[in-house]
Amino acid sequence: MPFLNKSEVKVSKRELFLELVEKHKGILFKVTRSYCKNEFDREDLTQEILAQIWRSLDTYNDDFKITTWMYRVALNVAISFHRKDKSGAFKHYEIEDKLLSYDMNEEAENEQSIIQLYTFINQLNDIDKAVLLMYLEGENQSEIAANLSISISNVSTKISRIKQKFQHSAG
Amino acid sequence: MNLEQMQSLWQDHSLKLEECISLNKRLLNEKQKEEQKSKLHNLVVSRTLEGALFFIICVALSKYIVSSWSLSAPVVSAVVLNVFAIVGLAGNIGQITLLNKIDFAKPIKQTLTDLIVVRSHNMQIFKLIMLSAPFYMAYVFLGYDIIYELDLYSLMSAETKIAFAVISLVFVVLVVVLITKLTPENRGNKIIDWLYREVSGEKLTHLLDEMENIDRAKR
Repeated sequence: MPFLNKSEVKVSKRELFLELVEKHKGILFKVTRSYCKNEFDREDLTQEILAQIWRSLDTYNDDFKITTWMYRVALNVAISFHRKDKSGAFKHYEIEDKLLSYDMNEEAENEQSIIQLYTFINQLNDIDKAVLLMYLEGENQSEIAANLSISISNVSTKISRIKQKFQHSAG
Repeated sequence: MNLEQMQSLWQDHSLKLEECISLNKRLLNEKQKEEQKSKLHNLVVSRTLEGALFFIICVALSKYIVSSWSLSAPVVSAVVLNVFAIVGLAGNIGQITLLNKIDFAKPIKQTLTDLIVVRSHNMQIFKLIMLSAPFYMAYVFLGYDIIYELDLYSLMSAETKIAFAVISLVFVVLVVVLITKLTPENRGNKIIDWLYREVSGEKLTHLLDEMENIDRAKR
């Protein structure tokens, strides 16, 4: 943004941020749902991811697809977010004003399978969750390896272990 | 359902999410104004306050050293304690620099490494305090001089001095053993694991666990 003054840069960054979040809000939903078991933690994690997306936006370069970049930020925040699960304590409360609202009715036909899928993801450790989410998004093994900064063979081993766990959990 | 079917279900889910999710822009705008309240920003604030405290201690001790300059036990004690305060101050400055550099867009392993350094801060401060334990008499000598204007060391008998020196030596051995054992690799030991949880908190132990999970397939 070389020809813009400070306030114009801020407006431009703000517009870009809003456009980005609106366009890719699904990533926020999928990551928060995979990493948090209760609504309150999901809401906090969404806020934290948004704060970091805003902060990291200045250093974004187009070497990466925007979705890959957003996934990286969201997964890094989610892995570092860690809280003890207090689902039981919150089960009688609801958040009135949420950043992301989700209407499951639209997905009624697949509801059970999707719930089953998220239940499985929730059981994995945070790194395996990241690997699986990227795999499900269609990223190839070398892209997953680059996002984690590990070897392709390590990614391959992790994916086959996740497959085994899935088959085991599906009975 | 196998993993490939799961992938196709996920793609359908992703497409439908576009219609199912709505973003609360009014709330997003409100939260944006509070963006400074991110967890890392809170850490920068607490490290800055801690750094300011170390700075005040350094200045106070330096003033004391200059005003009472002589080769006496209280002045030597002040010099020793000042060294620890300077190390603490440098550690805090390093933390603030690192916190401002943390980039969540980096690969996960790199971000985890940076976050582990940030979250290890309390453990480093704990180690620094432990390292000062063999010099426990420095606190006593300095305290006596400031409160009672007494050089306690010059009033001690040779036997008492030897007894305190022996206790310090015992502390040196204990502290060296503790600090060399106090590494993430030794968390298999119950005491070390307990110390990590109590001193650094669940956040650090979680990050260390996830770092192990990253490398696990290599073994």
